Amino acid sequence: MSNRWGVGVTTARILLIDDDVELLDMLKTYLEREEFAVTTTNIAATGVAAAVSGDHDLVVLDVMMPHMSGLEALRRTRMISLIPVLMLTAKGDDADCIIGLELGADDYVPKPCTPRELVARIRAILRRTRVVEGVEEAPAVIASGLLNIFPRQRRAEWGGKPINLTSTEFNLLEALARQAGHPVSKNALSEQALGRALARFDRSIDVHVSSIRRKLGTTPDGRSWIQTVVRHGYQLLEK
Amino acid sequence: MRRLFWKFCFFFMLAQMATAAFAMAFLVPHVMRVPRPPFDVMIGSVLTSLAVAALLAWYVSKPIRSLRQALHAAAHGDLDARIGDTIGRRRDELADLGRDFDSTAARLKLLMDGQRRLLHDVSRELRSPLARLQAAVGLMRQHADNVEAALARVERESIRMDRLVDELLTLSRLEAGMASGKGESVNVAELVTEVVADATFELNARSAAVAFDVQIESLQIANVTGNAEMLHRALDNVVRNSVRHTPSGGRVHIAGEYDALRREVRLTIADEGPGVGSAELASIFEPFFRGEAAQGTSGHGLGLAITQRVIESHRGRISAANRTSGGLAVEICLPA
Repeated sequence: MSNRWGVGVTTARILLIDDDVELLDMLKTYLEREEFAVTTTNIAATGVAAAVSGDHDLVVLDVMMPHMSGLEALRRTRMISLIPVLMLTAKGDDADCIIGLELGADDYVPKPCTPRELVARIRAILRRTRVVEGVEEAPAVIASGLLNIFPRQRRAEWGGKPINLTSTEFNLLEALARQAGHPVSKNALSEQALGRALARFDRSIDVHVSSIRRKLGTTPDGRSWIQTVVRHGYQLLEK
Repeated sequence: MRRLFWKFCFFFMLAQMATAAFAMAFLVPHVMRVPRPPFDVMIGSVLTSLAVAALLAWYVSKPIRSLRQALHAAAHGDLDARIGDTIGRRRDELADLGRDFDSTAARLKLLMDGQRRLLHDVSRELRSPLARLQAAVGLMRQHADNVEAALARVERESIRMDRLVDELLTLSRLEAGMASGKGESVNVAELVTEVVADATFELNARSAAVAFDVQIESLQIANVTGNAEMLHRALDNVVRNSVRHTPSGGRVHIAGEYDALRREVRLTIADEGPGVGSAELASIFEPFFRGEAAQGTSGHGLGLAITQRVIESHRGRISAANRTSGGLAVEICLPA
């Protein structure tokens, strides 16, 4: 994992899963010109197998696929792998979107979208998942209460035990931990964790935070470690 | 609030009072020594009649009230309200009215759900070509090399969307019962020959290796009354569907017979494709349905839905079954 983005490796490997074969071909052409290595499949089950194989850096998954639905594919992928997943959702279908984020997708793009938008989102996620090597500003460890975050290795421990976080969840938790004890606005969280400004009525951050909460458990007095700051954002408690 | 209740109560009381008054008026002159009833008996009888009146009024007004509540809910879009429970085992006109309401609401809900699903499917189906159009435009912007192929794509997608809209309109006209109209006499054998000729022409143009095996001699004498254009379209959709699912080198079998006894034409169109899962057989005539095996094939899933509605508007029947030798067989029966 740590060497995937080592020096010299510049081509990110993208896996496209969509039932529309013709669209897949076009997106593949587009992405290859943007210097990605692209694999495509129009069958969800094949897609899951490829996604968990470890041969890809990011999955673009259409959640509106018939039969074995994209959401089911996402669920099965997440049972095994933490590979970054970008969902394609129907515009205006918030339910699918929220379920997808709850299942652990990293972000979503409403479909139809321009390929340029898609590439921008892919880049945003990849930039954030890239292991920061040799960058001075990244500290070796961020500690806050029970939490230890190792940004260079992109891993986190809670009370000495590793926690399984998707890359978006990791970024969120890191952003919160850097300012533990202080509230962080949702907009800042979106910028740091998703690499994009928060859209109006966008609930992505809330959904991601709630899945982190589930993974952290509660304080001895039964409160959540991540407190909601009404009309502002969230705050990680130090103790 | 409960106006019907008070009205019933009032008029029933009035009726009882009047009856009592008439009885007294009749009795007093004839039987001279009727004792004047004691005060408490009078009060008691008034109270009893009051209670009976209230009971009757309640019995009549209660189902009307619950009906009204349900209608109110329905008017606000909640078609789940049912009044069957409040009626219980009661059997009279009011109970029937309540049950009628329940079945109406259930039917409306079914229709509305269907419409909602259709709308959802339509938006989905329109988005797929839109997504491809956007991808094509993106490719053009990205590099000059892509322009020719992308323009061809744009053209193809717009034709597709046009066809989709056309099919949707046809379907909605058929569902509104507007397309059955004309009562021409249509010879089924000619119709089949035309459809097969069209399909063969297209197959040759694509140099696809699917052959037809047509046996319709006994249909020469059979004529069906209806709309020739719609019947052509219905048949065309089934044949195209069969061609699409027949692997290269396979055959599409079309067999027709005229049942003189039942006065109907029976037509079977069978392919040598993968068939349809038995759980999916009943759904293949639903709009936008695509079978497990049809993933990636072109078409919108509207063809067979249109066919079914055309056949039904001609008082015919259509059904589908998997052949024992593999492949799907669609059977169409039309009254001759």
